[in-house]
Amino acid sequence: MTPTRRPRGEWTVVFLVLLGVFVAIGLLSVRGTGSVQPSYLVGVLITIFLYALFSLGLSVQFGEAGLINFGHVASMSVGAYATALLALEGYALPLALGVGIVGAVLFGLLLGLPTVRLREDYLAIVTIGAAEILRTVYLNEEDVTNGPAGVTGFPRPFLAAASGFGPWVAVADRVAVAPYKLLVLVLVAATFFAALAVVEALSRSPWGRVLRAIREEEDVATSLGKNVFAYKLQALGLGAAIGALSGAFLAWYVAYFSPDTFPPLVTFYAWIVLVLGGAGHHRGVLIGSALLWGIFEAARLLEVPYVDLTGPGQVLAVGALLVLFMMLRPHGILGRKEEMVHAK
Amino acid sequence: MALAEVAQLAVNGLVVGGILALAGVGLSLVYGILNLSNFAHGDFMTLGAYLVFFLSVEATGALPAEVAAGLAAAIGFSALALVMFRKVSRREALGLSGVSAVLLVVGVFGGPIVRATVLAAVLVAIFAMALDLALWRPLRRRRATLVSLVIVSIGVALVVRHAVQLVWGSDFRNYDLPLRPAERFLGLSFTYAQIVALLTAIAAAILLEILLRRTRTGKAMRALADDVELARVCGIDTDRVILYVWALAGVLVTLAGVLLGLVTNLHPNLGWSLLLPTFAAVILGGIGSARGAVLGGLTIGLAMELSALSERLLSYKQAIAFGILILVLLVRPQGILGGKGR
Repeated sequence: MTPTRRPRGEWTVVFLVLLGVFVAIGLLSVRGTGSVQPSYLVGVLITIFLYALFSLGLSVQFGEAGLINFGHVASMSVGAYATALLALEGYALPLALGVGIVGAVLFGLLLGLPTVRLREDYLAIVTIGAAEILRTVYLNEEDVTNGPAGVTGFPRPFLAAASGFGPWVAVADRVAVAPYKLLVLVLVAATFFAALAVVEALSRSPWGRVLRAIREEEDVATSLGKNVFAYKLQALGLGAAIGALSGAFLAWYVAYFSPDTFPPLVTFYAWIVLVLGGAGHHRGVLIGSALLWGIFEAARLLEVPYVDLTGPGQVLAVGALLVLFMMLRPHGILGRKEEMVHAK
Repeated sequence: MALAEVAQLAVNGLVVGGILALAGVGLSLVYGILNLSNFAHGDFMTLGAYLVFFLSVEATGALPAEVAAGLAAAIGFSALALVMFRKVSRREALGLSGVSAVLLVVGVFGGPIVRATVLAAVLVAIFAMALDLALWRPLRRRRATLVSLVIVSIGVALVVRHAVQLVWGSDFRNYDLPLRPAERFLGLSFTYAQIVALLTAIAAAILLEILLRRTRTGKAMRALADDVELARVCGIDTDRVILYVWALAGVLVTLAGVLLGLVTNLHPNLGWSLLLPTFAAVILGGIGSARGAVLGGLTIGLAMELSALSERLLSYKQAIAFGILILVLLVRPQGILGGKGR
């Protein structure tokens, strides 16, 4: 029953969706401004890969271990804050990034310890609360986090190199995109594919098989002598690490963030990405993210009348989409029917 | 002096606690019966509070009275029709007539805000029942997992909250009631809104106790919260009782929303910001237990307000509810009054 064989067509679907969204957005933006906007399109691509990476963390937690984390944004914010603040203090960037990742993992484990053994949905309540409280900490501890004003002016990786290395600048000029922006795209995409490769390899490993067994039938896994608790915590930690990585990239890309950058909504976006792509199919996050941001951008470019789709209307549409998908196709685009709706 | 300060904060705590209790009862019953941790519950509260704002402030004049009377007539007639076509039992028809009578009386004699509250409570109850028919019942039928239920409820929460924001904007609003001086009693000061909130919460708790302990429907609700399968075997029409539970939850949460709107201000995040403390109250009291929810609500409310004793703690009010929640999960995850060890 547990599917381990992946159909060959999945990558085709992923790239067709990505290409479709890209072309549609490109055409719409040309229609609006009269010319191709490479910088804008690169920005959309960065956002798509950023959210795909972020959602991949959730995909590990939920797709592999069945954990319902509704505070995933916490790992992203810990990654961003730790990386930026430590870099501002003069620490080396790899060290800052490492601390961010370790911090997010520890935070995730701290929440998992009292809840993972209990009902599945306790984790949802606890994580959503913890992420919100973390945000009030960022808001209130101004000495450390600069409070609501946010953090900016922190060192970013390869910043000098991107604009100083002649050939790269030439390439960037050729496509009319700021050199650093283009570099961020390459870095985010490369990181995403690397993380995806690692996650899919782990998923096929004995470790992943045990996790899926736990997800399907926890008692059986326990009776086979597997330490269910430890396995779940490991998945929680791995997901948080990936989330922290996406947080660091977010900080480097936008060069500014504040507590308001990390509302609960960001977590919900990741869930929508997961549901759209198909839970348990890790490469589906790219489909989900492309569709989500494709819809957002299309709605904005089309200037849908009466509903301001940049504000509350946008979120309303996303919520409705989530409910609709859960009712009509809960297994997502890549998923199979029996995966999500089966009786517990 | 310090003691008076503590007592004053305790009063505030009881007010917040009463509101949490009202919101918590519905959340707890739904949680216990449907196994649904309804993340949209807080946004039902927001919706109710804003509907009251619309009916009492924006649509001033005779409209609410006529609408209330019209709705009363409609419900009365539909009760009659449903009995004639044997769609509902006589007992239910009696209940519907009761609702229409209350609407009529309040519509004619009540002040604008009372009128609006009753009307809004009915509307939110209908909305909650409609959602059961459209979403939760089909999901029950196909035995959806806990996870899918939670995700759908998050989707509903997003839709409701942002619909409210779309319609009424994100500025602070209030019910535009005349200002009254605070009453002093036993050296403590009570604002008018606080007195109303306390009395309403107490009255609602007493009525609820009667409903759940004395009436057949109430007993059926508690039976369901205990064990749905057992209740079904005993011949209880579970789908129907679940609808009543949603209606009850809708009414109580609207009441909580109005009271919160009276004590503070209206904002699209009104209910959402109270959701975590409400969940904490429900889990503390024991999922599925109405009495537990009241107990838990009062505890959490007191703890949150007493945090104002320390300037530094005040900014972490939410964190206190959260801390209690974690503590309960570690020590007694089934809650104070929860029966089954989970």
